[in-house]
Amino acid sequence: MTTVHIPALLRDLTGGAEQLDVELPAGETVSVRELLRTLEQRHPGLWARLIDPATDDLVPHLAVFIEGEPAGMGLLAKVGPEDNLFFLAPIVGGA
Amino acid sequence: MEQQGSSGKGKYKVIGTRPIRHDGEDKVTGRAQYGADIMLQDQLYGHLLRSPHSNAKILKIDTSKAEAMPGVRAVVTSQDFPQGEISAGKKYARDRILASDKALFKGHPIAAVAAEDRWTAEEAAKAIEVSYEVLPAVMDVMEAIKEDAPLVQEGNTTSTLGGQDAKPSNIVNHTQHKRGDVDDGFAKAELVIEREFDTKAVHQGYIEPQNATALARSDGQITVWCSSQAPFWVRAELSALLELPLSRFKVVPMEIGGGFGGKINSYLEAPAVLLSKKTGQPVKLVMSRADVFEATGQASAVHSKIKIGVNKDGAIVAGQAWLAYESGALPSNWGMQGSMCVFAPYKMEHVLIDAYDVLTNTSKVAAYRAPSSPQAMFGTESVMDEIAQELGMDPIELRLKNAVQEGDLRADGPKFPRIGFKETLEAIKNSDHYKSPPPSAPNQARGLAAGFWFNAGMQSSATVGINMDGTASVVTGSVDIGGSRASMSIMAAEALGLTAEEVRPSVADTDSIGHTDVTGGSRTTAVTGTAVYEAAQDAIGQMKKRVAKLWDISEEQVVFEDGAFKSTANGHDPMTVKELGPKLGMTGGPVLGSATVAPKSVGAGFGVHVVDIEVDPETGKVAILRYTAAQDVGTAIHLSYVEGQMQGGVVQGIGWALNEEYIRGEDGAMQNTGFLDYRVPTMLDVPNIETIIVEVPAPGQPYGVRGVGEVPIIPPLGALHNAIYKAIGVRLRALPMSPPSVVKAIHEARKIAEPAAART
Repeated sequence: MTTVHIPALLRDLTGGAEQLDVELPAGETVSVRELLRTLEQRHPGLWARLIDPATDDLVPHLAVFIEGEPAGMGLLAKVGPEDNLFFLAPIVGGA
Repeated sequence: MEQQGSSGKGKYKVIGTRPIRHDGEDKVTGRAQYGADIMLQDQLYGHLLRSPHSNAKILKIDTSKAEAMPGVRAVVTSQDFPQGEISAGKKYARDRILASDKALFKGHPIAAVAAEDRWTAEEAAKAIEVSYEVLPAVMDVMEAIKEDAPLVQEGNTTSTLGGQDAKPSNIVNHTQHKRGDVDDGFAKAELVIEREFDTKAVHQGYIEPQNATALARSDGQITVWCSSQAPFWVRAELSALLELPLSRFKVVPMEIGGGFGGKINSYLEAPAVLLSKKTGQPVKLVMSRADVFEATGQASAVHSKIKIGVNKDGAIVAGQAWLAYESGALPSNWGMQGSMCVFAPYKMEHVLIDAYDVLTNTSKVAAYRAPSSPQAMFGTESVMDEIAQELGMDPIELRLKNAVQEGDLRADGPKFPRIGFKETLEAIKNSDHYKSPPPSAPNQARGLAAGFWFNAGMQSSATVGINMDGTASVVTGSVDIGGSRASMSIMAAEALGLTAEEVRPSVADTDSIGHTDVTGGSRTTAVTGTAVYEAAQDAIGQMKKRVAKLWDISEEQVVFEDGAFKSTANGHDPMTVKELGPKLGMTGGPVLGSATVAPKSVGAGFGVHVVDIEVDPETGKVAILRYTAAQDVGTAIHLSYVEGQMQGGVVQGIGWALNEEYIRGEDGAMQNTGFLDYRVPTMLDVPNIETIIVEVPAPGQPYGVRGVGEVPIIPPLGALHNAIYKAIGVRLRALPMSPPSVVKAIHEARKIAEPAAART
């Protein structure tokens, strides 16, 4: 079971659900982009709020985190059946 | 220095020692080459004309008089960037460097001049005639957020993830994190405390001002020498803004006199290139200190509301935060980052966090050590202190009861991997400082606070070359700000069985090493260090083949253990890298290991600080009597630089807490644009900062390294606030807690107390 954690401001599209589970066959992985397309069928509107049509990528200042770690490949990153997926601000430091 | 939980003790030979830094002598003798030292043949000097207004439409720029002046070679404006339709993001990037249609803040560059000498350039800049339509400006976050506030960017609407609000506003974005039901949580909590906090804009205060020298050759090749934390990012931005391929640019990072996040954005590089393209000569630009304060990137001023509900045993039930971050005149996402930090150290079943980035007529905010976390956690740690007081609990016990550990959820969602917050709290609890009685004379007190920062990942490259005598060279693309040459040498030496002195470290330009992201986010030792480790492993793999040749055995029969190659077959004495070096030529030639990494996992850092202070009730001056900082650093690579990072962060945090602020006049202009008036702590203001290094190795890094440099700036804000409260009986809840504000708070408290006493 892959768990997609829905940003609070998108939960009007998921009936208030904080997270959505997606069944993936054991051992199989899908890209974040594919996963979002699957979720879009269940909860129309998610895609439009997460994806910037000008870049066909995540809206500015948002990044993919898998298991709490930044996924460098973004929408191309693969997620597996046990993964937790988040959409959070990218981390840039100072020192 | 104390060291606790040291997993590395006895495990490593070089890691955890204190070799002399390779770049030390050049830096203390003044031989090190900084950007302002560059002097090229036919070099011109540049100067920027900056806006005197905080918000104004640019109606016309007439450069003709300046261009006609003797000795002036070129004038450029935003019009000299490639024109045409561009994205909003690119326009923002361009406008940060040279204003196009609006001057967005005082000091905003309007035009750049190149002349034969700097004085001519300065005079020519004054001869540029600019017609402005001056507009009302807004400098304060809480003013800017109002519906009737002057608009900083007329086209800005608020991005909420819930869709774009069509109404123009100064709010760039709204972020929300929500778990459970906070209303229900607060209703069930036995103690709820809600408070509001303010922090002022502060500057990183690096000693070396920004500078850039560019040479655009007639064959189209461009070289830039600059003071930057991120030379590869400078190259990328130049490529994007000038619409030229990356391969046209070589960016040479000079030694850097401090950055702390403020030298991630580029400011002077593009104008220097434009001027050099126009003149065919090298052009150097150097900022004044006033330019640095007014027109680089300060850390956000922040207004916050923090509400925490607990049970009588101290367990947190619910937390709510509302955060508004100054963005400056161009969009940024510092509020989003603050929202991820504000409650990170504590377990919370019910949580609601709202954060906003707000446009103001100030220079675009930049990163500053643990960006966004100090302002957010200042409120959290102050409320935690108040809760401990109300419950009669020791502030460490309250934090230990609620501290996150491996497997717990961060307030914004993700699960923590192995972290060392509890170990760090225990380290302070068991420290000589905390076990000693708090200072008890009048106006003396003790304060405590914690801090959290993620530590950044991203990409790095490194090569490890084996010399013909078996010593080694390490090349990375990470600019050395805090002693990273020494750290890289130590990690390579550990891997190769050499001493740190036998490894020569270099920082390469963008032509000479693979892409390497910023020296920032406390990522360099962890991530570039991983690249160095992997490059060393690559070199070891190559050397195994050479040893196999020498010993006439298969490569699989050669292992590298305890700093030497050994044979799993019999009959060969171990061979060190030093012994193999002279034989490399005869066995196939030089060995050069290389690696590029983009690690998924980086280790988050936690710090806990305790401070003893004395407040002078007459002057309001706060004297630091004793200060101890404990931090989980994963594994300490170079002990002196780990301590130095912790001590430096503490001192900057003390400055943020007690003195530093942008003081603005009625027109919004900064009034204290020099170090005489912008008061950073000096050696006379702080005692020796005691450090306790806690080592809970980070998963995913070969040596367990976590970043060090970010976390220690966070706790001083809360720790000093909490100590001042205990000393004077007033919670200020606004930074800086400078002498005037402390005196005012004492007087106001007396005014309240005296009539009350009179009534009784």
